[in-house]
Amino acid sequence: MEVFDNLMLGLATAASPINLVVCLAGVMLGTLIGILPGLGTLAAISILLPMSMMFGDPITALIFMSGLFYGTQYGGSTTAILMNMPGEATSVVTAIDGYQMTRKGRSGAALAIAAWSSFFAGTVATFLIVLVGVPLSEMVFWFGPTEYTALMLLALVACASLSPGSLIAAMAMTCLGILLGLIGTDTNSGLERFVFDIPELVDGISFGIIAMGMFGLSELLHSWLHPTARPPRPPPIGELYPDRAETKKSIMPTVRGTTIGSILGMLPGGGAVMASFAGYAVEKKISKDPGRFGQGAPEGVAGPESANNAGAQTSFIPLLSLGLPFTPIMSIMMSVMIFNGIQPGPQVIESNPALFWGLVVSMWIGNLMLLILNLPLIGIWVKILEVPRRILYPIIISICVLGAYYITYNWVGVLLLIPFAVLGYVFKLLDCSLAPLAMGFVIGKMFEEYFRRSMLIGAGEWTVFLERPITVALFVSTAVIIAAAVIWQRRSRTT
Amino acid sequence: MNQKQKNKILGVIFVITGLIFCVLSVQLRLGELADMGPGFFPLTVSVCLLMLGIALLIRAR
Repeated sequence: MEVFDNLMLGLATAASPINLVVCLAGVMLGTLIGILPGLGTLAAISILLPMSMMFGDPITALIFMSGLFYGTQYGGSTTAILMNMPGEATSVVTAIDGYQMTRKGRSGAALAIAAWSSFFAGTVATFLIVLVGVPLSEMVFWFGPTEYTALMLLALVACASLSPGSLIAAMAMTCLGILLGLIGTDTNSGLERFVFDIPELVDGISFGIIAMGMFGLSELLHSWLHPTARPPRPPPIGELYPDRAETKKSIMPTVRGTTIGSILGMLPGGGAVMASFAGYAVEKKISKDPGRFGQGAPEGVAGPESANNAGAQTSFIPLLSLGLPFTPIMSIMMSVMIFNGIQPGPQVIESNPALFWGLVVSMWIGNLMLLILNLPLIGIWVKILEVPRRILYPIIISICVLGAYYITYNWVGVLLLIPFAVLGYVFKLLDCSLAPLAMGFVIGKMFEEYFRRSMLIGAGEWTVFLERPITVALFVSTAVIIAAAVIWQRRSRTT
Repeated sequence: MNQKQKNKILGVIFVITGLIFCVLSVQLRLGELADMGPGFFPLTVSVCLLMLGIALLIRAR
C-alpha cells in the first residue's frame, strides 16, 4: 500500500541520527522553555527561529521547531499542574483540576495522565494528518485564485474573531500586519513600497524579526517592567502513575478530547488553545458529577490535555496540504520552510515526500520521547525555575540579537528588534492581541496576489467571486464567523 | 486604566497609522480594479485600518 511505503520513507527520514538528536533537543528545550513563566510557545519558537535555519535541511529544521512546539505545551502543563502557573495559554484549563490534584498529593498522577492522554492524542493526530492531509492537498486541484482569496480572507477573519479582546481591534491589527508585510518591493510592478530609500528594507522586513521582537522580546520587556512574584517551590511529586480509579476516569475524556482537538485544530485561527477550553467544557457538561470539577477531577486534566495536543498537531494540516498557515505558530513554521527553500503549497507532499512523511513520523517520535524521557525528568526540569532572571534574560536577548543578524546579515535587522519589542509591549499593555498582526503579515502579500489575479480574470468585476461554488461557500463561512463573533461579544457584554 | 481608555488609545494609534499609510499609498500608482497598481491594495487596507480605528473610537466613547 502506498501509504505504508511512504510511512517507511518517513521513518527512515525521521530516524536518521541527526533528526533523532534534533527531535530530542527540540522536545527537551521546548519543555524547559514551557516551564519558564512568561515565555510561551509562540515566544519560544520565535526566538529560536533563526536557529532552525542553521541546520541546512528543511526537514531537520521543521522537526526541531515542531519538537519545540509540543515540548513547550508539555512544559506549560507541568507548571500548570504543579504550581497553578500555566506556562502556556493551552495549559490554563489544565491548571484548574490539575493543581487541585497536586494539592491532594496526586501531582504525579496528574502529570502522568497529562502525558499519556497527550501521547494518545498525538498518535491519533499523526494518523489524521495522513488521512486528511493527503486527500486535502489533492482537492486543491479545484482551487483557483478566487478560492484562495476567499480562503485567506476566511483565515484572517477567523484568527481575528477567535483572538481575545475587541474584534474591531483584532481586525485592525490584521490590517496593520498586512501593511507591514507590504513593505518592500511589489512583485508585480517591481516598485518599492514604504521603503523610504533604506536599502535593507527593499526585500521587506523578515518575519523572523517581527516574531522575535513582538512575541519574544516584548514578553521579556513586560516581565522586566512588571515583575511578578517569584514562583513558589513546587511540592514534591508523588508516584508517577494514576491509580485504577483515576485511570478509568481518564480514558473516555482522552478519546473525546482527541476528537474535539483534532477537528478544532484544523480550523482557521483555532488550534490548541480553543481545543483545550472546548475539551474541558465538554467533559464538565457530560459528567454525571460535575461538582467534582475544580476539585481535582482527572477528567479535567485528561480532556483538555488530549484536546490541546491533538489540536496542536492537526494545525499542521492546512500548512502541509494547502500551504496556508491557519494560526500564528503555523506562520512561523511556514517561514521555516521558506527560509530553507521550500515553497509551501499543495505540491509539497508530492514533490517533497520525505519532508511531509518525515515530519509526520517525527511528530510521533517526539510525542514518544516526551512520554518516556520527560516524565521521569520532571523534577530536574522544574529546577530551572530557580535560575535568576538576570541571568536568563541576557541569554535570551543575546540569542535574539544573534538570530536577527543571522537572518538579515545587517544591523538594520537587529535594530528593528527594538521598535517591534516596544510595539509588542505597548499592545500587550493595551490588551490587544498580536496574533492577527502576525497572520496579516504572513498572508497579506499572498492575499494581494490572489486578489489581483481574481480581478484580472474577472476583468475588474466583483461578480467573479460569485461564479464558483467553493468561493461562495468560503465567503459565506467568513460572514458566519463574523456574525457569530459579533453576537458572542454582544452576549458577553450584557452578562 | 480601564478597557475603554485602552481602546481609545488603540483607536488613535490605528487612525494615525492608517492615515500615514493612506498618504504613502496614494503616492504610488493606483490603477483600477482590473489592473491594480502597487498602491491599490495598500490604500484599501489603510482605509480599512482607518475606519476600524474610527469605529473603535466611537465604541469607546
